Parts: sequence; structure tokens; C-alpha cells
Amino acid sequence: MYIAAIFALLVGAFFILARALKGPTAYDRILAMNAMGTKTVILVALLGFASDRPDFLDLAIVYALVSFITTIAILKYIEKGRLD
Amino acid sequence: MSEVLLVDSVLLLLVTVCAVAIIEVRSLYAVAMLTSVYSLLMALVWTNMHSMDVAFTEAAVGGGISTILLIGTLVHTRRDEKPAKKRLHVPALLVTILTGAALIYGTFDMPRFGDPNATIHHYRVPEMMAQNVGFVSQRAGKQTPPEGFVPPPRMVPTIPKADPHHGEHAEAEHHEEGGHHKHPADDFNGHVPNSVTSLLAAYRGYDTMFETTVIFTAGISLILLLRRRRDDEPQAGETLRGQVILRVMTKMFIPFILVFGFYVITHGEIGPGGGFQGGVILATAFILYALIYGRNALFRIIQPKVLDVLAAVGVLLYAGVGVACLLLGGKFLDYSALNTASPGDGEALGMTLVEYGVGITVCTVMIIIFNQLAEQAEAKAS
Repeated sequence: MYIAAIFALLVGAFFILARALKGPTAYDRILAMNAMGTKTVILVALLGFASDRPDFLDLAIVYALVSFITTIAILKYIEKGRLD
Repeated sequence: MSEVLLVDSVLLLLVTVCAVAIIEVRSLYAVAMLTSVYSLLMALVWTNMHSMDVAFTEAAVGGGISTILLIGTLVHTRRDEKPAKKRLHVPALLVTILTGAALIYGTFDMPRFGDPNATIHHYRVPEMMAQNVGFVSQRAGKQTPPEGFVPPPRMVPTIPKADPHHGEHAEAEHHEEGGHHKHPADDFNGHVPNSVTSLLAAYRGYDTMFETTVIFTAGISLILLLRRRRDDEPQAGETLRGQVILRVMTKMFIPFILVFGFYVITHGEIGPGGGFQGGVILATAFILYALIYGRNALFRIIQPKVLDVLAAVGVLLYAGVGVACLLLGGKFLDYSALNTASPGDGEALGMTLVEYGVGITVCTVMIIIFNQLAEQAEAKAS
């Protein structure tokens, strides 16, 4: 069950990567990056449960807390052209 | 073919595609974002290999802060890479292929991935895992020694009992025997459950101390290279105060990020993570605040001068623990000297202090780097 879910998510990762590579605008790439972050959170949790190591959830929490800040930084740079 | 191998193959395929794209794409903007995707994928590879501490570092550094710093660098440079003049350099290609072939040839002598007979699973590791505190989550099943390993009589693997004095007595008993005053003859110096932290903070304590010093040096060099204006001058900055959702969510998220950062530092010797990862997570919270409310707001909370001092305090704390061990009669960074009655507790205490030293330095240096990258852009703009 977990394994099937992992592979389904990995197939999705190919589509996301295709969008990140193809572009064409920066917003497509930002969206792809953000989606990949969300996917990573779930994949880490699934890998943890599939291998019977629920302490992997710590890692998923780090992603959930940290990865959206990158998106904010990029969007701020696009809008204002600076980071401070 | 097992599932782990299959997942690994798919992930490595994705990583390769991503890496080739990073080299080929000319827009540095896209490169910054693809680097973020690359590190997300690498963290999945590490997770799949169960190397949690590496995955944690990749998550905290690669997924969060490094992309922000890359964007900060982008503020100073052009958005596009200069087009390469010559596409193919034949001698370079030949050298690369030869080096690659030599490296692959070298791997033929290495044990296969996951081979239970590999040296690394037999040299010292069984002793370490057989220690009565070396179990993750108090479950013996996850870290039992390999088949055929007979533990020395004094290191029979047992799960710690609920009685808190049990472990201490066992420690005290086997520390009294033999000629050595603190450790049994072939002790791994690892009385804490997470073997990675034990390795980094105790077994290779000097190495980690100098790594922290390297990070400190990086912060100092950035201050020397990029700091232009006086600290007390008011600094103009763009804020995102108009964005209501971001503003509210930031205020809600920051306490959780800070608590989690402290948890990762404090819990480093028990679970995955440690000073480096926790410090980066803490720094991310401050950077988020600066992004939304502007750097002036950040400086009202924590002044640049305080940041500079704290970066040095972290390294001092690390070295200070080492000196304290010396003064208490042990060796430099021999944490068991901190508590002679139960050396295991002493090591846990020493490692926690050292992790905090690393965490303080990493956190403040990351904020300093972010500050300097953002500040230069401001000076240019005005």
C-alpha cells in the first residue's frame, strides 16, 4: 500500500520536474518547486512508514516548516527586486 | 529487485535529469530554483538509505536556506549566464571520461550496497550497538547486532529498564574494571543513543569543533568583505506588510519553527539532527521575519552587534566545554569528565552543550550572511 503510494508520487515528480525544466515563465518554476516541496514532505513520511521508522516524521516536519520560506524569498525578489 | 532499490533508481534518474538541467539552463533564476528541487530529491535519496542525519541537513540547508542565499547572490549579479563560447572541449571531455571510468573501476573493490559482510558493519559498530544505551526509541529490534556476533560479556545488549539508576550502576561497574579510569578498554565513547551524534560530537569532536570555526570564519569574512554601512544608521528596506495572509501566517509559524529548532538541537544526541541542522532552522525563522517585516524590524529584535558577538560565543562555548573537561581532569573534549559518577550522563551533558555551541554559531552566521547579501543590494540601489 505504502509502496504503491510512493510510486504514484514518484510518477508525479516526473511531471513536476518537466514543468520546472520547461518553464516558460518564472512562476511555472516557482509552482513546480513548491509542489516538489509538498511532495517531498509526503514522500518522506511514506518512506518512514513503509520501512517502519515513524521517527522519519521529524524530517517531514522540517520540510513543512522551512520549504515555503524559499518560495516567499523568490516571490519577494521578483516583486521588489531585493531581499531585505 | 527490492522496492528500496527501485525507489532509489527512480530518484537517481530524477536527480540526474535535474543536475544536467542545472548545467544546461542559462537563466540563473531557473538554476536557483532547480537547485532547490535537486536538494529536495537528494534528501529523498538519503531518507531512502535511512541516513537520517544527512537527510536532515539536506532538508534544513538545501531545502531552506541555500536557495534564499542563492537568490541573495542573484541580487548582485546578472540574471542570465553568459553564453559559453565553445561548446565542446575535447581534452576536457576525455579527462572527465577517464576520471569517471577510474572512479567506477574503483568501486568494483567496494562491498555491494547493503552487504551485511562489509567491513563497516563489523569493525567496532557491533560493540557500539551492543552497548546498553545504543537503541533508538528503546526498541532493540532496530539495532540488534548482526548474526554471529558474540558481544563481550560486559556488553550484553539489554534495553534500559524503567529504573533510572539501573544504567548508572551498570556504567559504574564496568568503568571500575580494567586499567582505564573512564571507559572500558575498547569503548566507542558513545553513551548516547544516536550513534551519528556520538561520532560527530565525541569520537570526532575536534573535527566538529574546527568545522564550527570554519563557519565562524565564513561569517567574519562576509562581514569584512560586504559590510559597508554603520550599524546604527537607519536602513531603508522593502516590507511585505501589505500581504495580510503572509503577515498573519508568519506570526503564527515563527514560534513553531523556533521551538522545533531548539528541539532539534537539544534532542540531537537522542534523535536525528543536531547543532548544525537546528541552528539553520532557527536562522530560517529570523530570515522569514526579515523577509516579511523588513530587516529594520529584525534589527529591533536582535542588533547586528549582538549577532556578531553571538557567532563568537558559540565557538567559545564549544571550546569552553573542552577546557572544562581538561580542568576536571579528563582529556580535551572528553565529556565523561563532566560527571564522574555516571560518565554516560556527563557525555550527554557535554554533547548537548557542544550542540548548542554549534547551533548558536550556525544560526547567527546564517543571519549575518543573509544580512550582508541583502545590505549590499540596498547600498547599490541608493
